[in-house]
Amino acid sequence: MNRELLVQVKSLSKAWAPASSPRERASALLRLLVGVKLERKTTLSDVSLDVFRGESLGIIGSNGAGKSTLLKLITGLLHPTTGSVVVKGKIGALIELGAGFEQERTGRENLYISAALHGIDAHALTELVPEIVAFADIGEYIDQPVKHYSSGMVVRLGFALISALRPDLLITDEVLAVGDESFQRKCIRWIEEYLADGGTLLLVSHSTYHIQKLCKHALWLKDGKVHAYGDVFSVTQDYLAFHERLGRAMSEPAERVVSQNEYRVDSVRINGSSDEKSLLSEPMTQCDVFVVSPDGRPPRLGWGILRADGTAIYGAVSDMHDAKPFEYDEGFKFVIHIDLSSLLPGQYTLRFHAMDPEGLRMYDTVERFITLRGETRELGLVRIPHSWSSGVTNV
Amino acid sequence: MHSSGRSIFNSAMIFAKEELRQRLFDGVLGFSWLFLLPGLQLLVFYFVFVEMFQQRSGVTQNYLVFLALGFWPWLAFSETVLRGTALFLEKSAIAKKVRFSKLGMFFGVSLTTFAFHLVGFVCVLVLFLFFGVVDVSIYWLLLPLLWVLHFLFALCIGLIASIVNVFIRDTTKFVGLVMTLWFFTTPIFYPASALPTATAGLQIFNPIASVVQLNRIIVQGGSLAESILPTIIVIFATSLLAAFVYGRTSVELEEFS
Repeated sequence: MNRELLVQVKSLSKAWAPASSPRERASALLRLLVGVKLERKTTLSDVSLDVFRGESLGIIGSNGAGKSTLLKLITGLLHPTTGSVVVKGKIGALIELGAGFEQERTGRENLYISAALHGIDAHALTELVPEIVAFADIGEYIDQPVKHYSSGMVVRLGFALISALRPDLLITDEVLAVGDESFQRKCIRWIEEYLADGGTLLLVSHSTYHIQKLCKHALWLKDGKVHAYGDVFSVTQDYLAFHERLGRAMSEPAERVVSQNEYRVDSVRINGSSDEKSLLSEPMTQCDVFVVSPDGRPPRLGWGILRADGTAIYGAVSDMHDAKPFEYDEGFKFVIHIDLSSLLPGQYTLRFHAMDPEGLRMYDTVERFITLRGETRELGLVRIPHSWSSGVTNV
Repeated sequence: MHSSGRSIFNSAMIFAKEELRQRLFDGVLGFSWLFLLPGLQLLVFYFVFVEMFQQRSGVTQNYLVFLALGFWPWLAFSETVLRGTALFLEKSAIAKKVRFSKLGMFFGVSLTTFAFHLVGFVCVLVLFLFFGVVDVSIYWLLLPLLWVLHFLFALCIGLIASIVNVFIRDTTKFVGLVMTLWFFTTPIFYPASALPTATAGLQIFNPIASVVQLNRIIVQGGSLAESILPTIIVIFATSLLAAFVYGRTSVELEEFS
């Protein structure tokens, strides 16, 4: 099947010239006029992506990561410093919570100006106005100057206009962050229908829930660079885990200081791998933990699982289940079979503690990072078994 | 990125209409201002300069006609430049949200501003014809060409000032001062012959002085004292300068505005 490439971004970079003081601006003008290059600070670096017709791409990232800059470059509001952007078809964009309305004009007048800038003539718009006004649902404010609107009302009108224009490519920047619940629902419902009809979406949002709900792919921008790009669940789960780790006081395990004369974890294998980080696509996991015993007595082992931000989820010690280790050349080997199916996809830390045979003291701690993959929009940490009783079919 | 002829034309049309609407339909009297304003201004001039001060400044022809033929071209030039100076900054908020040709926008708004006073000028000529103080001649056919050159000069000066204003925000105030100086050093209220010899020689490099003089010669009769070649060279050089400044800075305007 031939897919139509709607947006092609190649090695895109944007660097801003410092322009904070009048002296810097004046200096910049002189430099431009005499053909001297301006010193610039890069905010977006080497971004490449393809968006085909009918696709939906969510763009996530912390504040200042370059999300809005990328959207502005794709929309044509900014010129790239290097690289290229090719967009085929009609773009409908709501950038930075607005559709470019004139403050002194009424909502209705602004509809005509904005529509004209989007290539819709006044006659065609007149037919669309009732639909737009109904969607925006701002009542008599439609004939009031936009300067009297709340930020939510501006977004309502902007989204209503863009939706009526039926663009080939819909670009929205945090539109779902403003506006009340009912308007958010209306927007989401409209976007779902738009996508079902073959529309193409670029959505910037801090809400990974909205990104997962509306997009098939996601792009994570970090410090102006593409940190991850691919399946929406994979990228958003990594993004959430990253922020959870940021919230954790120590994102990496403390440096191990273990004496040769103490019980210590020699090595850990997760599903046969000794890697520090493991990607798990199946919930059943086998952990082989090798513990060295200085006095030859069988030690005990504690294990636990934590969320990436350090929140403890579960922990157990071998003596709780009267588990005995296997002996091997240099010590003892514990084998733990862990069923992680209760956990929702995300990043977790498995922690292992070497303990004395009495189970009274912890001598050593080793951590391994695991990433659970899965496609779900469930919220939270663990999957709680539950069921629904369905009533009427139409609400 | 926004340089296609079609996008320039579309933007020019949209912003020209919007400017026209602001100028004509936002007030109580609306569209009638287009005709009322020039008539009322002419009445004011008549009262102040002819009745009150009996001002003639060595002008042998009808002074009111002489004044109107100088004042309307100046008004068109001055307002186009002053309006243009603020434009890129004024429209920067919308330019950050919607894609359009900034050059088209600039052209559309400038043309509307200029045309507003051109219509006023035409109305004044019609009034003069009605009262029989001027006579139509074949030379009037040169007026459109003259006003096209006049607009080109105003457009280019405004474009340069508007670009500089994006980078140096004091430009609006500076342009206001320059316009005042320009106004008084251009023979509008007085004939060129009233200027000292040293200053009069410089007027050949002042295209507005030439435009004013040519308007008077075409409508009131008379002959050219100097060649208009330097004026054409100045207008041509200004156009090249505007193109150069725009070419060097156009992609940076979005960053600095």
